[in-house]
Amino acid sequence: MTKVLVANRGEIAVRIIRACRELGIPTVAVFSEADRRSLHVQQANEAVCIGPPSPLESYLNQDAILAAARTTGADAIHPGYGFLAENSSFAERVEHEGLTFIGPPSSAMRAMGSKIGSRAIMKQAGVPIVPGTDAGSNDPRVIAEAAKKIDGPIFIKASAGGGGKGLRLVTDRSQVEAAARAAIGEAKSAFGDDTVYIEKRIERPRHIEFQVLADAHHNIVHLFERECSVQRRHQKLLEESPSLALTPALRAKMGEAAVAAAKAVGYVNAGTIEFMLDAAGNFYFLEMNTRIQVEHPVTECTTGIDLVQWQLRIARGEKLAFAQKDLAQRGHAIECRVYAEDETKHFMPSCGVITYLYEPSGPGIRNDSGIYEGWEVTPYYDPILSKLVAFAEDRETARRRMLRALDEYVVHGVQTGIALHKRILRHPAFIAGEVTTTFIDEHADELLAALGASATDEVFIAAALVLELGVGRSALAPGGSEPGAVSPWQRIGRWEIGGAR
Amino acid sequence: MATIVIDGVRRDVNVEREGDGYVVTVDGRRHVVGEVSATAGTLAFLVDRASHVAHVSNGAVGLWISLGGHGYRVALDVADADRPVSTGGAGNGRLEAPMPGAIVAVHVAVGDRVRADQPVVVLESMKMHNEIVSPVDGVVKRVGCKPGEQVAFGRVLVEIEAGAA
Repeated sequence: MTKVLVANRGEIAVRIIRACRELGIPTVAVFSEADRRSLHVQQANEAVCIGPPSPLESYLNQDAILAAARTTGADAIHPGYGFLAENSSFAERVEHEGLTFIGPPSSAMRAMGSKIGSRAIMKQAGVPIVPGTDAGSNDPRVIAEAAKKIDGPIFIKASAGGGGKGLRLVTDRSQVEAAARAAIGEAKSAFGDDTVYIEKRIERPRHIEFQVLADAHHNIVHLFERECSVQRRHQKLLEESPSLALTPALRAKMGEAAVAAAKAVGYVNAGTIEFMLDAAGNFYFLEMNTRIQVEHPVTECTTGIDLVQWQLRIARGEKLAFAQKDLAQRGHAIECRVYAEDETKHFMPSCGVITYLYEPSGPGIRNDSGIYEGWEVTPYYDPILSKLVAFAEDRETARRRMLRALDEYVVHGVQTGIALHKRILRHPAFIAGEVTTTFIDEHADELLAALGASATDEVFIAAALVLELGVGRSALAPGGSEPGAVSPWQRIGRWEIGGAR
Repeated sequence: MATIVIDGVRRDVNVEREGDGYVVTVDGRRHVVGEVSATAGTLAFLVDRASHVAHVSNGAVGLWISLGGHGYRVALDVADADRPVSTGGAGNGRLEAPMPGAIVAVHVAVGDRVRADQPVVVLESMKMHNEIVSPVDGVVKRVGCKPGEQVAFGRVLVEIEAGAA
C-alpha cells in the first residue's frame, strides 16, 4: 500500500488522512465542485475534483473516483462512511481494478448490505433477530397486506437502508400504504434500491452496538459496546461507552453474538453489529455496518486501539497484534455529534459561512472536525460539522468534561446542536443513564423548546462594547466599520439580538 | 442611549468612556467595565472583578455574540426586529424554503384549511425528506411551488392566512 485515495469528504476524510499520515502513507483526496475549499482537500497530499456538487455526480460517481485513482497512482481506496462505503459493486470494481478496498470483501458486504438477506443469515447463525417479514417488496399494497400479520406498531424499512433514510414508523394502521409509499420513494432516491420490509417495533429499546475487528488470517475480536440510544429522526446524536445497561455477563454474551455474526459472513476489517436491547435484557440483531462508524472514537478512547489505523494495517495483510483476552474497557467516553441544524425547527439543516470558530481542547477532549473558519456549509451533504469526544475515568467525570468543552465551543454563522447537547447532558434521565431511543421524543418539551439563555447584563454590556469598538470578525474590523466613521453606537436606533443558542 | 432586544428582553443601554475603561448603564444599572481587550473576533473585559470573554463575528447573517457558553444572534435591520431572525422564516404564515432543495410533495391547495404543525410541503435536501409544517391555524392563500421543482433558499412555498376560517 503506497498511496491511499480517500473516497469521502468532511470530518471522516480528515480522520482517514490523519491515520495515513501517521503510518507514513501518502493520500489523495477527491472533492466535488462544492468542496473546493474543504479541509480534506487541504490536508491530503494530492486532490482531484470528481464532479458537480450533486453526490450522484461526485462522491457516488464510481467512474470518476476510479479514474482519479488511476491518474494519481493510488493503489488503495478508503470509502469512509456513507456514500460508497457499503456499496458492494463498488468494492468489487475496486478489487477488479487490482486495487485494495479498505474494508470487508465485497461478498461480506453484499451479504450484510441487504437487511432482508442479513436477517436470514443471522437467523441461521443463531443470532436473535427482530420479528418481521422475511421478504421485501417495492409495492405499497404488498407491504400493507404483509403488515396485517404483525401486531402493534411497525417500522417500514429500506432493505438497503441506514441513517434513518427510507424508514417510516406506522402506529395508525390506516396509514400503512401511505407510509410504505413514502419509504419506497425515499429509499429509491437515497440508495437506488426501493425494496422495503417490515419489522415490529421493540418498545423503548436501547440501541447497543458492538465493534468488531477481523484480519485476513481468521483472527477476530470484538471491542465491546457503544451505547447509541440518544437519537433524533432515527439518527444517532450522542454515543457513549461503556453502556450502563450491560452487566458483565450480558456484555460477554452480546460480544460472542457479534463475533458469531461477523464470522457467518467471512468478515474482514472493521465492522459493527447493531443490536436492540429491550427492558427485559433481550437483544436482537438489527444490522451490520460494514464500514468504519461515525462514532468509532468512543471505542478508540476506551480500548486504546486506533481503529482507522487498524483498517489500513488489516487491508495491507497484517495480523491483529492482540487477542480478545488482551482487550479491556478503560474509563468512559462520550461523543456528541455536532450538526449544522436547528433543533427547534424539526432539525432542519442550517447552511452558511462559518464566521467564527473556536474549538474546545484541554484534558480528555478530542474533536474530529471537518470545518474551519471561513468555510461554507452547503446543502448538498450530511451537515455534520464535528464529533466532540470527552474521555475520563468514569461517566460522571466524562459528562462534566463534555459540558465544559461544549461551553468552550463557539460556532457562528450556522445554527448548531451544541445547546441541545448541553440540555441532554444535564437532563436527570440522562444523568441516571435511563436512556432509550425514545429519550428525545419523550422529553421533547424540555429538550427542544426554544429556550434561549436569558441574557444577563453582561451580554448587553458585550453587545454595547461591540458597537462602541466595532469588534467582530469579517465585516467589522477593529476600530470601526468605515474609516473615519463616527462610532456606530451613535448611529444606531433600535436593534435586536435573538435566535439564541 | 439605545434599545437592545435579546430574546424578548428589552434594555436601554448606554456607554460612556471613563478613565481607562467604560461605564455601561443597562436599564439604569451602572456597571464599571475595565481591562477591555478587543482583537478581531474576541472581546475580553472585567465587570468589577468578574472576567468575561465574548466571541464576536459579523457575516452575511448578521452579528453573533457568544458569552458564557451561549450564542446570541444580532439583527441590525430595524425593520426586521419583530420577525424571527433564524432561517425558516415562518413569521406569519408565509412559509419560505429554509434551504435549497427539491419539492417532493405539496399536501395543500389554495382554500384548504390547515392547522398549526400540519405538514404542507415535503422538501428534499441533503438526501433527507423534510416536512415543512404550517406555523399557524389558517387558510391556504397561495401555493408557490410544485412537486419536482428545485427551489432556492427563501423561496415562498406556501402562504397561509392565519386565523381565517
